[in-house]
Amino acid sequence: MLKNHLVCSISIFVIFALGLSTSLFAAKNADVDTSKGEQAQQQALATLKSISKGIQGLKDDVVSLNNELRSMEETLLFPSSTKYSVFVSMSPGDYFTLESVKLKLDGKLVATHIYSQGQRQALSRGGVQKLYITNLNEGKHTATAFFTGLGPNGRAYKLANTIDFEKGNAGEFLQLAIRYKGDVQEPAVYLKQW
Amino acid sequence: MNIYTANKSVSSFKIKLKLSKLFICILACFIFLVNAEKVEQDIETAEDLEWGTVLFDFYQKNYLSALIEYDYVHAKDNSMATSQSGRLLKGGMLLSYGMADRSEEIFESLLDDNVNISVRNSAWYYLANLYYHKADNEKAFNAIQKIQGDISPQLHTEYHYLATLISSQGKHLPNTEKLLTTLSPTSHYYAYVLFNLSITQLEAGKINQAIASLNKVASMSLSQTNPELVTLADRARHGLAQITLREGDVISAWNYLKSITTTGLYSNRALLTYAWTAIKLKQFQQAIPALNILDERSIALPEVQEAKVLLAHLYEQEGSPRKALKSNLLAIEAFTKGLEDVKEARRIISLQDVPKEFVSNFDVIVGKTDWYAMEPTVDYLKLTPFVIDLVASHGFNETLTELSDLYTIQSNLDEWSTQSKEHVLILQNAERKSFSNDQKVIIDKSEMLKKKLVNQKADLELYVLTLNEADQKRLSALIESTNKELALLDSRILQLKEVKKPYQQPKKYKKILAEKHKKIKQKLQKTNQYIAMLEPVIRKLINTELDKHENRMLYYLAQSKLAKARLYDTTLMLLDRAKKNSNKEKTKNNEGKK
Repeated sequence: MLKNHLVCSISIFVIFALGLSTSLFAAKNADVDTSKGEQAQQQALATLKSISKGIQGLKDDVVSLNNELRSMEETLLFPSSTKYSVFVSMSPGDYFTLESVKLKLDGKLVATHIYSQGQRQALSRGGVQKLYITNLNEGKHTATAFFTGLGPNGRAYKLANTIDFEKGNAGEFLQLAIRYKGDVQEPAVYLKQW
Repeated sequence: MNIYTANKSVSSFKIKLKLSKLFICILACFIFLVNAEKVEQDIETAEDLEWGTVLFDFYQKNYLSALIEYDYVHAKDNSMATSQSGRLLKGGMLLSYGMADRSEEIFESLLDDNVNISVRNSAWYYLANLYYHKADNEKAFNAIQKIQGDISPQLHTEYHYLATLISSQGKHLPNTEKLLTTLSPTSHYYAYVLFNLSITQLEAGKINQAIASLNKVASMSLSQTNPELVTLADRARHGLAQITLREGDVISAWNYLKSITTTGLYSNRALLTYAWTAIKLKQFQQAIPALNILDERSIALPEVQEAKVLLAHLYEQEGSPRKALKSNLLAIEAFTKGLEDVKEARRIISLQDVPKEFVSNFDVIVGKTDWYAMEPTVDYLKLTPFVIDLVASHGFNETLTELSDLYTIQSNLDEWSTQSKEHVLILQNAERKSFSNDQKVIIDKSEMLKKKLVNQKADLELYVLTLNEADQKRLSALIESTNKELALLDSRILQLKEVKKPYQQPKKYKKILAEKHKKIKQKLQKTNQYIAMLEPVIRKLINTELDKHENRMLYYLAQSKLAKARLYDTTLMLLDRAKKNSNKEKTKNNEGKK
């Protein structure tokens, strides 16, 4: 009996001793971890600082390069005399939740787009989307735009409009605009040739 | 809007902004409302249309695309782009895109020009913002002091908010208090400004004023349904509880803690503090439900780890060894699982594309991860519970933002690399183009066909005239559309006839294109070099964070194992004692019988 009791007491003592040493070890470890974490943070910031100028320069170069490439590409694909760009705009207001657009040029479906929430918001805040760029020869053409979306009270809308236009010998724009009519703020599509 | 840059942390408070802070950094601290008045106008010129494309990307926070679009319209001398407000917008976009040096140049150049007061004040505002985020408080304070007279209405509230932040940062307490009186209590920022003020007051040792400010924040948010304000209120209550606890007022702390929501951003910390406060008040039964809630959450949370050990300890103190033993056994199981998760997280982060995936999906990860982690996550999402603390850190955030920009550039240049093959193809095809006899035959045939169609149409028109009025009406639409089609055909034939030879690209294009393509390769190489430098940094930061988790869990695991052994030993001793007593009684009884 006494032996058992002694074993129990010793083991409890050992457990407490181990517990104490574990606690001390853990406390030491926590300090080491914190300092290692801070060191890693400092190193990260130092690395960033050392390459920050380089990254800023790279960003600047990439913006310029994109601009040059885009101009070059447009020159190759869309000579200024035949270039024709189509834009989508929207009047500010929450009366119409734009879902999609389809564009037909001279009877052919040439562009479709489904809008994300971010794009819808950007449009209603005054942003203009460049929907389509193509080459059109001089002369008469027809464009038809179809919009789908939800109006007030979740009512589904399908809006469409057509424009006949004559393309000149310079780059031209077509604006597909969603505006709101009258007091009821009924959405409607307007097409304008620029 | 996630604008509460309550970026002061007071150690005694122990309430650091975590995810909220992260959002601030990721969503690029600055709000630019330049040209918002333009929104209200209709498009009046073709220039407006092109300028609108800049705004389209800008409003979506696609700063790289917006800057490219800006340069494109600027090259076309778009008057909006060259205007003062246009330049102001560019400065803002550069700043948001991490090109602080370039943006600083633009803002400073705007101050040199003879600009109107509103633009000048906006430029000073953005400069102050820039310096503030560069932690150059003196320059930030000087810049904000330069704002005088009219300020753009869109920037009015932001200006006040920044001014209070800068004043707080620069320890200009009276200034902050004065600015607060100019800000409407209905403003979105008011609660955040008040909160920041309370921290400054606390730092200045004005405890009572700090308590009053925090109480205001807590009560202001009562009527709010805005989750951000509710979170801020919880944060204020937790802060109040910490202050009152430090002053020994456990009852008040208890009351503050009771009002904190159990599912909000601060619930983990609040539940743990609640449990400790209950223990201090010797209300052990009150502490247990709080610890039980924590016990069900992710093992990756330090509060949960502590709660597991504390719960078992509480049962032991309460005199329920069986419950204590069970809790310890469950804790051992949870810690073992947690350590396995850390191991898995380490394996995942070592995979090749993980930093890229992590950065690309960051918004989704943060958005989907319920930060109190009731639901388990999969794959690289497994990392997120372990990096919640890390994502709030400055170093991690900055590295992540730069890496994110570099990945965007990489993808942009990759796309151009693909396009470059098409460019070469277009040039080659253009060189091969020539007018053969076939084309002439086609034009002649089209001409003949057109004549035939015109004749047929004339016949049709004559035939229609012979019909009655109703039938004529029915066919009039058909004749009209045929007329339109014929007119289009005519216009095209005319165009083709006038073309003497196919369009040929100028010879210099080939050379120019080759140079551009070389540039793409160079820039892509440079981008990959920077990515290769930053990916190990992210990996190291995450691994260091995982080390912290691992060590803490090992410590708690050891604690639980020791507690389990102790409980077993105590039980053995009790059994032994009981057996000894029973034997004694038996001996006594036997002696009595004799």
